[in-house]
Amino acid sequence: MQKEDSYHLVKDCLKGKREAQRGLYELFSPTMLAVCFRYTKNMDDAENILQDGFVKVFNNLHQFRGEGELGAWIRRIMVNTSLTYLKMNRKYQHDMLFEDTPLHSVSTDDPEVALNAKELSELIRQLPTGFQTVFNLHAVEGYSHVEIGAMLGISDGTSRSQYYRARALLIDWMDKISLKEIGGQYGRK
Amino acid sequence: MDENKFEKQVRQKMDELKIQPAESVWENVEKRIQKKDPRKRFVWLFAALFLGLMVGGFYLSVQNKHSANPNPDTQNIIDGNDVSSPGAKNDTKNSVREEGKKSTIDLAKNNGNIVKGNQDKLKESSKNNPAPRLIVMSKNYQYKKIIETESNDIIAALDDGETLKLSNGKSVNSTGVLENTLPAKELNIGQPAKNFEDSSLNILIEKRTEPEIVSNKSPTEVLKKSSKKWLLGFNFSVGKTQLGAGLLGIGGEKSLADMSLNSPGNSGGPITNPPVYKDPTPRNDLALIVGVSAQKKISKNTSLVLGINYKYFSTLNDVGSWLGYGNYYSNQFVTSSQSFLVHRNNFHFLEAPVLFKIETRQNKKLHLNVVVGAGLSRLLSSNSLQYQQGMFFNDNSFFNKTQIALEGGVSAILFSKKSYPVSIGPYVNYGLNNLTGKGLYGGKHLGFIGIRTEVFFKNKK
Repeated sequence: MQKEDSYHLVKDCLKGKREAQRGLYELFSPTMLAVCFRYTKNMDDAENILQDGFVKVFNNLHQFRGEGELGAWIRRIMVNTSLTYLKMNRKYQHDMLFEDTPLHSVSTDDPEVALNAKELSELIRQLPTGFQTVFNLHAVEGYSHVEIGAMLGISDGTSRSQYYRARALLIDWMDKISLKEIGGQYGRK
Repeated sequence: MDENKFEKQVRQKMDELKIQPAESVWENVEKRIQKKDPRKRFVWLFAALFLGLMVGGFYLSVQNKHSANPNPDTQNIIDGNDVSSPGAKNDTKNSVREEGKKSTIDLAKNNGNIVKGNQDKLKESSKNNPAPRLIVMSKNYQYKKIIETESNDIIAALDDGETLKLSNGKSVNSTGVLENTLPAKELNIGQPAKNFEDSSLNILIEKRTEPEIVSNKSPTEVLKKSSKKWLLGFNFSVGKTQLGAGLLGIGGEKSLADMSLNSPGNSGGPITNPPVYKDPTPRNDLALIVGVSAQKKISKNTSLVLGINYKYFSTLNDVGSWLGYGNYYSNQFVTSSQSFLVHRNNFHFLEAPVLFKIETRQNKKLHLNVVVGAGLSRLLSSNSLQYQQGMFFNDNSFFNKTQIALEGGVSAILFSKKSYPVSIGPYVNYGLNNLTGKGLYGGKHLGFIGIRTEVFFKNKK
């Protein structure tokens, strides 16, 4: 999307034009639902986060200064909303208590990812919530371990440790376990 | 980050992924963004109430200025209407006779009672008492201003154009001008008239253009009479927020683990940049209360005060780096080059107080009021931060939005003789219920300690 297009879309949304709001939602919601889905364990939770996230987007659209990409700004909101959801939701709270585990050896494996996007997303979602969160934040969103530490209230060392354990587990699964055995059902309940 | 082939592929594949959400998601989003913010509704309601009370107060004030009804309870006031009434004609005590549009009064008076008499009696009375004064004014302007009067003064309230004929044959009209005797300019406004033939009679001319209240009662007594009706006023308090579990926010210190909604993550393992944490406990800061109120006398020295207040409380938190959206901050800074930010947690309340004002030291120079009562308030909005796992964030769903507070104070009344007396003194407000059950404000009560100023518009009759 061109920067100018997003500027006009935002401007119309701020004027309260319903079509523009719907347009913005339709433009970004499929990508953002994929983001939210990756942080949760089911589609209902992902859609709840998407809903909360878009309400925040529309309520705070005046804060978007047009300096970066609109998509990146919305994505950041979705990631933060996902983290809050995980922390607030009893279902995920326990898994978000990160244990400190010393980082012994870091795998140097750098395998080819043969899975398609859906399959890979499904596999990431099978990780324990803590691993899943740190893996998404680092590998997909590109946050540094220092930033992740600040976001999750953990040390960067804990983040690093969690990440490499998640990475190793994922590579192991990709190597040894077929997707059918994992049994993740992609789709809504 | 480590830019291995693996991470690159993962990111690339994840960026490709798109999932179409259910239609119900948009419907819910649309409903929520269309829904009018209830906080805005409260703000508008408060603004409308405030405006309404101010307009009402102004209207009452203007009405009082033009009120033409004298107080029939005041014994030493001669009412032009009364003197022309048939009852008044035959009332020997009132000593007023009607002569067409003119009235004649025998100026003999004893202890505030107008007695039919003659100059001898008046002179006899004058030996023991200060010379009685006749205070003449237009009905339209009486009762608006307190003037000092002696107990034996006679106050005449006349309609415009009405004339009071004195026993010495002279007449006086509602402007206080002695007709055919002295030109108006020779009369000293506010001073006993000089050069009047009957020296035992002083005539006090009240300046017509000034609103006035005439009574021989003390200001407090005048206020008591006027307080039979609702008096409108406004108040302003400034002080400090008192956040705590005990009375007036004392006590209730909690550990970091208690304050967090979850235990913060431990920091073990190989730490390359050891984070520096700050205590997330909020610090007390500014508090304000501003409102409008109406008071009514319910007993000799007690008034009921009802009103509507806007209450503002604030606390401060030291927060670390901003995490990119809304009120998300860490409570650490990760390099020595960064410093903590100070975040002000604002709490906006709308309160309906019910207070009892007890007047003390009524006969002393310095009048004191003791105010006690309770208030029901509603949290309109807050940007206050909660704390969890090393992260600050805003979530008002934790708060008990309806609060009950006890409040009270002592105030001294300044300018009690003026139309707008001001009371000022220390004031406390203490929330009876917890602000929240958990988190940073878990089990804590909001309180206020400061100085309260209150002004009431006297509604005198």
